[in-house]
Amino acid sequence: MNQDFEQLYKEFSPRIYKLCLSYSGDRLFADDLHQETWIAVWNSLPKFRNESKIGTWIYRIAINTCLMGIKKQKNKADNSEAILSKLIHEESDDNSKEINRLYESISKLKENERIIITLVLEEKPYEEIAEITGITENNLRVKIHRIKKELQEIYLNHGRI
Amino acid sequence: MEEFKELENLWKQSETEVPAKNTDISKIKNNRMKLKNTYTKGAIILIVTGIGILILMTTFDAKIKTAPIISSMIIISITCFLQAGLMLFTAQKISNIDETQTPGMHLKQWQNFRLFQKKQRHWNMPVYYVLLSIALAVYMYELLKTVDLWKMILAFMVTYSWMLFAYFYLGKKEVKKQDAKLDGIIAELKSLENQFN
Repeated sequence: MNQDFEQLYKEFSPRIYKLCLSYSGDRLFADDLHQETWIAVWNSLPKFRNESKIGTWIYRIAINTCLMGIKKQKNKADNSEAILSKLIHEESDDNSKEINRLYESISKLKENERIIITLVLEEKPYEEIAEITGITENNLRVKIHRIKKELQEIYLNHGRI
Repeated sequence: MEEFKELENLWKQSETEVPAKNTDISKIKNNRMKLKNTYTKGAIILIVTGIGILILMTTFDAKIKTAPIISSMIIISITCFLQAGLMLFTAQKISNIDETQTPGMHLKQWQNFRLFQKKQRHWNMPVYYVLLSIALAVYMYELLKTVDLWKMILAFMVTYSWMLFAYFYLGKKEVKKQDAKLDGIIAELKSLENQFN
């Protein structure tokens, strides 16, 4: 099991961490959510029955962890803007300011919207997003269209792309 | 949607540093497990207390091993065991919450758990107070049966006035406070669940 887990961690942790980061808009909180997710994956792994793709299964755990972490996040909301500026390592990329702004914009959406748009940005097919979130595909298409518009608006209100 | 493509490109460029994995993840507890452990530990303490009272009872001198004292100690032990059973049941409920379900179903499970907690608080307190009052009455009667009747009545009045005050004022106030807190959590869970419909 240890080996399977190591492999899953290696494969999925960067994407799961980005989900936690865009959901919380706070690196410290994202660290907590990320760790909580992997503890839950470790504990639930023996019960995995291949009824869905392992990726879908891990994303569900991560999303549920993020949603249940909402209370902690609200307490940190006041100082999140200060932390947001440190989301991405300044030296890591020329676009760091824009990337920070993108994360900040996502974290201003409603909870389900943050999750859906992160999955869209991760280029997950609609079918898989529907399976992960439990939202019907038709409903999802409508939501995604609206969220994209909303995210663009929020992003543009912060300045030019 | 051209502008959204730019956001997608930005997202692809956003390489973030993933925190290092804890070397022994199997030994760390997440929030759900911590909550479950609180109930399990509480239950174990109560079971040990109940057993301790019963062991203490067997060591009593024959002179004080009267029916009222024995029965009051048994009632207190039963109260401990019942409370422990309830705590283990609650821990099991937390354990049954499936984190791999869809968000809507997962949130529903937490809502049901919080509703159970709310209901449980409402009938748990009266049962606890009734059992405690009976045990105390028996014990006090045994302790005070040789003193003057008025002194016994006074002692009972003072004790039970306090118990009634604790139940009807402090207890109800606490339940109201806890209800408001749980209602807040339930409403929050409900509003999140609605987002996934």
